[in-house]
Amino acid sequence: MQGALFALAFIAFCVLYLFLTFLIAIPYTGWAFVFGLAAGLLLVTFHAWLVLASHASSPLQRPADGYLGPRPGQSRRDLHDFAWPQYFVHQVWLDLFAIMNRANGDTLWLWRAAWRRIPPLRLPHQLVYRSRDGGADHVDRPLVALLGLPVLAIPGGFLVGLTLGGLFALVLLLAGGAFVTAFAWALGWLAIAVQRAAERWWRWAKRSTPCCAHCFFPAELPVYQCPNEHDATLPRQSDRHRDLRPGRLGVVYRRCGCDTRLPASRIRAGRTLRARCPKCDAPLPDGAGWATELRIGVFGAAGAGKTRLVEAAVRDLTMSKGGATVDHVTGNGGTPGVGSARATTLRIKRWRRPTLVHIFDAPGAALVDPARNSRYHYFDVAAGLLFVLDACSITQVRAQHATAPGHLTTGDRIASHDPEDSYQALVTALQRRGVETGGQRLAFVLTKGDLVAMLPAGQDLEPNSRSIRDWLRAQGLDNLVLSAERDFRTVRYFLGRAATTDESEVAAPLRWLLAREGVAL
Amino acid sequence: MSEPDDDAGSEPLPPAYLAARLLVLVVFVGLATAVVALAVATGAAADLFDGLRSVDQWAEDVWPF
Repeated sequence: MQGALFALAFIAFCVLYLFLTFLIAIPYTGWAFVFGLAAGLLLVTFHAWLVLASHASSPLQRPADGYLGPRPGQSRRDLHDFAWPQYFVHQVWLDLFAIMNRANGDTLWLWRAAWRRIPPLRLPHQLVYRSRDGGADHVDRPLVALLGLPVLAIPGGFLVGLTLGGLFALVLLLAGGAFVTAFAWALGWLAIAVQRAAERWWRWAKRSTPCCAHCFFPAELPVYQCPNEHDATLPRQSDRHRDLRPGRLGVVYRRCGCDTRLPASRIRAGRTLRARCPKCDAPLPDGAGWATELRIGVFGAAGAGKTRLVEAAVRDLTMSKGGATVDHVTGNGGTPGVGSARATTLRIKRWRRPTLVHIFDAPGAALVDPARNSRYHYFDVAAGLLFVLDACSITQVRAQHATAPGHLTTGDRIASHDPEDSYQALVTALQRRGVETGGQRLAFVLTKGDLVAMLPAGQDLEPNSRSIRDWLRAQGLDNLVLSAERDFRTVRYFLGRAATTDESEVAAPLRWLLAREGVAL
Repeated sequence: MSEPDDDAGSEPLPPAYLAARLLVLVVFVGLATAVVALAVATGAAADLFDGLRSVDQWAEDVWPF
């Protein structure tokens, strides 16, 4: 009896199995698979929308992640600045992987949920010998899955379709992301190359490389300061942008870590941002990187009257009523540790873009020492040089000055150093360093001209270049004159007089040097 | 199942990020739409549905009862 019942049950199971297989599983599994494909595509699209429309968080490459702070010998990799990197540099991959992780997590969750829905079936021997820990459930599920295959094939087909549809959608997403990223990089590099070339041209054509007035470092890449004040919650000195060029932190603009938009170009940054020296951190004049910067080096023996000449010339230029406005921007008053050179900066503005003129005046004692004058780097890149010679330091004049009546000699300090050596000490050192002095101009200023005019030796001295040149040769300085005219492209001679009635005469050497550089005053 | 995050978007992002993300999303949706449209246009989708229907018909024909 039991055998017959068992046989009937077995036959009924087989019929049911066949019925489910042929009339439900086979027709509908394919459709479930197709619906699964569509669901997988929609699932990835949903997660792409969540992440890319910022409705779900994804890992972020924040400005602080790439910022390493100021370090000695820092390289110029722009990711060291405290700014948001371009989206397509790194963040795009973080977002795409976030979408993949979310879609992958959901697919696995559905598979696990479906697997847990399969009821555990205990076989007869397991009903007798039950596992103590109940772990037999896991062993039974595959058997149930096999027995219930006709029914489970439909959700199984759906899940397989969902997985394959999701994978296909992820491939599409990665391909689309890679395409957009490649396009953005190609366009970005092209724009960067064009802008950097334009900047290089600007720096060369407009001579806009700033020079620090404190350490004399020619700062090709000044440090620009974010106009927004960074509080203590932000990294130290994070407001300093040390590589403000078009690059991975921005092609046209960059966004500082404090959310301030900055121009990603030295030319535009120089118009609006404060600049600092990358070497000594001293502030540079406004317009650094944008304005034309001209350097004029003043040299001569100690006591030749360099400082008085520069001060008088600057005073004259700032008071002149020409077409351009001349402002005395700053003077460092001598920087200890680098030879106490005095730097005076003038801002000359005729058009919208100013010209910054730095006049560097170093102590004569340091200048006549080749070992010490090599510290004054500004001579190497100067637009023009101004040599100051004390007329009373010439041997013949000195003798007449010594025997002159007391009311004529007002007690002025007379340069004691040999005139020719005061010239050669610097110019020879420059040439040894490879500086092409043959491309520079020299303004040769003979100071104390009014004092010499009262002495017998100065009776023939006229305040014009030809006369001064002839007078110097007559005083036995042929060699100095010939050397100057051989070493420099153009030499012009000026007479410095303290009691001149013509105010413009004091600044004539500077005016001449600047006019030759295209700055007419 | 994943859901939108409540705190998402609380951190201010550069506007360029939002625009770039939107661009990636549009390209992805455009690609997916293009693939589906291509499948419909070339008849691949119709062939798939026809195949499914023929399987359905075959199962009915084979069913012995």
